[in-house]
Amino acid sequence: MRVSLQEIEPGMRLKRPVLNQQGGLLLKEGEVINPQHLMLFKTWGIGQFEVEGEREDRAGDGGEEVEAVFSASGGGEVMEEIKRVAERMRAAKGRSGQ
Amino acid sequence: MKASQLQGRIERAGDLPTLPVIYQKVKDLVDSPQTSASDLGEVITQDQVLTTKLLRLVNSSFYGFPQRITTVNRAIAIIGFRALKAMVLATSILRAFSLDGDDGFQGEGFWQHSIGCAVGSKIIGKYIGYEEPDELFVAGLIHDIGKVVEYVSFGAELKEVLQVAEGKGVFIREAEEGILGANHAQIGSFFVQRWKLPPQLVEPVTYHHNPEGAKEFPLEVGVVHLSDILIKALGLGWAGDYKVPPLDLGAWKRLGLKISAIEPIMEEMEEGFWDGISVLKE
Repeated sequence: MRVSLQEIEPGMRLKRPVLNQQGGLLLKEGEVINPQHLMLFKTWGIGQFEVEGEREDRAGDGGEEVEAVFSASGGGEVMEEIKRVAERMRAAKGRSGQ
Repeated sequence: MKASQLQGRIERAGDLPTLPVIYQKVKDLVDSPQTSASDLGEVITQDQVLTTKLLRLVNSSFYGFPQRITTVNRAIAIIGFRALKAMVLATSILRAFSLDGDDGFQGEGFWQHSIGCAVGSKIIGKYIGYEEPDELFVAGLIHDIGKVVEYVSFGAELKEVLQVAEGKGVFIREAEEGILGANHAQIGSFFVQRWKLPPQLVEPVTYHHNPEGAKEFPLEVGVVHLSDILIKALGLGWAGDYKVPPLDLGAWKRLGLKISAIEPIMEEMEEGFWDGISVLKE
């Protein structure tokens, strides 16, 4: 699947190599992304990547995932707000849980 | 295992790192009223790694100065002695523990969580008007240091802790209490006292999961408690727990924050997290 710089995350495996604007090789295919790579991509301004796996329908999945990670946190209006913001931010970034 | 046995085992595990000599030198200089910025600069520039990190830090978004700061003396003049001491401590700790565990502990994820909590603590500090937010940064950075001690001193038990926590769906600290007889907050507390860190750093380590226990520094404890929850809620970094721990309402009230501050704080945390990683963890 094709993912953007906002979507790519540590643990994903590259299906195609990542090249810089001059065509120089930054990372080989098959490499597993780590946080240093993300910085490298930011530095080089690389925006698109081909990684292994299929895109899941992410609509709403921020919700289910956040529901699970908050299952032991109790209630209260502050926690509800934290949960709401977390859900919104995770959905916006299409970021999966840890 | 009893507390005394546990301490004995931690003491006997000779591999636990000590703080670099440079920290003690900087601390002594900062604590002395006679010290000038150039005295401090002289000590710091002897340490190339520290100099590089410090300059990157003051040029990062944490400080957001419009002009590039290229000398240590200028950096000291801008961020001040206390913030500088905090930053030297932060970089010293990261250097003392260069972890890259491969047996389920995920050293990388651990430091991401710690740096995230550090960044969050500093941001929350800014929102509550805390005098020296950089000191909160250090408190956040070391809040889970007990887990590192477990990693070094109780490797086999830590594996079991992680398995039990995941299998039973309980928090790491609950599994630790069952298996080790103490949790990472208690173990960390013992350890940072051995490092002779000041009580405003010891208390957040000791009480970040039960802020009501805080004695002299409930505000600092509350900041780290909240930051730990927020960074887990954001899903940035990973320190063994899959779930977000409950919020202590007393701690929340002490911070005096409005609920509407949660959203901008979390937004800033996400941005600061990536900056923090790039500046500190290399």
